[in-house]
Amino acid sequence: MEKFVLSVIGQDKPGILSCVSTILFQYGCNIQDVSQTILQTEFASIFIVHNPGGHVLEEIARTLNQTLESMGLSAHLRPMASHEIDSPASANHEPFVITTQGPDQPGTISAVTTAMACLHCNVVHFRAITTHEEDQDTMIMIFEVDVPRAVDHRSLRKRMQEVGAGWGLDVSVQHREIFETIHRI
Amino acid sequence: MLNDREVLSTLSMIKNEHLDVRTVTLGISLLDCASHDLSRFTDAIYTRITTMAKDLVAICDEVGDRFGIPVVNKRISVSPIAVAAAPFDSKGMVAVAKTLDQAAHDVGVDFIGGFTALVEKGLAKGDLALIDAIPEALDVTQRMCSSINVASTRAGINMDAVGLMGRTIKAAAKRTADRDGLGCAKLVVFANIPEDVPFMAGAYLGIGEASSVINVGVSGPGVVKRAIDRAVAENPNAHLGELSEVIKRTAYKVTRVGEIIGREVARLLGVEFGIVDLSLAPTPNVGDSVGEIFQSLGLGSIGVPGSTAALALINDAVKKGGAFASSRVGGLSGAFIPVSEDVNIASAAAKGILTLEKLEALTAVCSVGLDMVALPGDTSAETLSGIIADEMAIGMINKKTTAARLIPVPGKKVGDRVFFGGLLGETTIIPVNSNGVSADFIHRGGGIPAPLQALIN
Repeated sequence: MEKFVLSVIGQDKPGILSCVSTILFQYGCNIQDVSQTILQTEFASIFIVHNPGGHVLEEIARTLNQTLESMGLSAHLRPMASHEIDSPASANHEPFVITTQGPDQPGTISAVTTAMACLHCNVVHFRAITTHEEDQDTMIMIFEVDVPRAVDHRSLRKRMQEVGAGWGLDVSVQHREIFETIHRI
Repeated sequence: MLNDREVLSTLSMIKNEHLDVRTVTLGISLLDCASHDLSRFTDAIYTRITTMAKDLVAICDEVGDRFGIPVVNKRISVSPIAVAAAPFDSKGMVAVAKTLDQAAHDVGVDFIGGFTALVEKGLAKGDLALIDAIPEALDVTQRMCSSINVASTRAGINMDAVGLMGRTIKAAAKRTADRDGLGCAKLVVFANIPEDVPFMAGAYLGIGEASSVINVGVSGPGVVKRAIDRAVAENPNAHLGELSEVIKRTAYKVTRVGEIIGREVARLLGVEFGIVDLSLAPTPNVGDSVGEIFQSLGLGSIGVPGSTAALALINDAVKKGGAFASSRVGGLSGAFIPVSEDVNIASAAAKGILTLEKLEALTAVCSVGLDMVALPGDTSAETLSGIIADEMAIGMINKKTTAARLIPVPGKKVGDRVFFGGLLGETTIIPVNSNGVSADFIHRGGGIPAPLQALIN
């Protein structure tokens, strides 16, 4: 197995990337893709790593966790399946942006994402921002979603607005291209 | 990945600032429908329009939904009828007008433009028949718009046509007296009319255009106003150069919306994409006003001293942003100041802050002209012609489009309210200085020669 997926999660502090990348380098591994984010105080990252030396993943995981545990972090590795490696950018989807705005209450994300899942829409990016306006917390959720071509965008909008209405959410569904067209040269 | 600001600012432009595509206008050439037989001609143009435009409304709605940008109006422009229907007399022209109106109704568009004659150099047989038919044609139709080009920088001003249009406007007002002279709201007199305007009432498909073409009119005065307000809130001392930059950047974004919608509609209809006309076109809704932009820039109202300079700044910044956003910017592209269609401008006129003379000065730097101006019903035809001639002279000399859409409201006087309804709005009748003393000048007729293209100071 030449590629594996590594996730690292824990409290944010300086030196996490340095530590992880140094250990991977010692195993002769090459980091091909990486994404990281910080939510409040918590660090999370995901790496796709090429392992040309064929080192045993359990061994790499052990080494990483020995160092990271002392920093309050943990690492998880799993081999990357071949179909994931070969997965082409799908021509059967179109990128849409679904935005909701409304009161922040438990259950909204579940309701909205379940409606998307029922229509086989895949969320590729998701951000939620909470603002405090007029004495109540308002949550804005922005989902970038791959929508199967078989799903008509009007039915998608209708379904999302029905679900949103039940939670007091104002829902917009727009093709992603409009945002890029307006804001990018 | 999009950033939050990109998503949220786009949503705000649509939901709170009235950003929309004001019109997608399908241009349809009727020149090859020409026939000496009236019923063959009307059958041919009806079939042509209803075939070409049968999916226009559905496709515009589909594309608007897809991008989440409302396409408010779907319209049609056709070849100038004075050319396409040149063999017919004025009775025939009225029959053609009815056919255009019926076709517009049957495909579900709100306006069809092209009851048009181009007479800047002279009046041909078809032109005379069409102009003669205008009062009745505007009375018996609901959706049809008419435009007459009486001047150009290359040809000068056809003063015979200017005189004729003064009388025609009076006659159109009289025929629609029960509707506050509504017929005149669908009739525009132009200098330097562009061939690709998507906005009504001046839309027609130019002789030099393709068989069919999609032209898009994007609006967005509310978006521009809010952008200025935000810039001023962040920096109360922002100078005019900085605010011009804000308008330019905003115009860029708005034009991009028109471009993407226009291209997609054209692709789905299988016709050529023409131009985006980036015009700040107000509607009677609060927050969708060009007049309010003047206040955001620091003037008490449109019409006060400083207004012409402010409008010059707005108009120029809009053009610069639009030109950068699309290589296919055309039409009028600038700021409209239609009095009855803009609550704020109508209010300034009602209060006497904005006079006819100041409006005329503003038209030297705006993108169109004296637009939707309600005048006393007793304004003489010759005085109307005098106002038109002044407006045409501004366009001719300054190498720009100018237009006059004047409504002498029958039976009403200065200060009376008039109601046109819908997008045409409502306003108050403003005074005309020295009514009835331009007749000798207008009756001379002939033409005002084209200006020099050198020695232009």
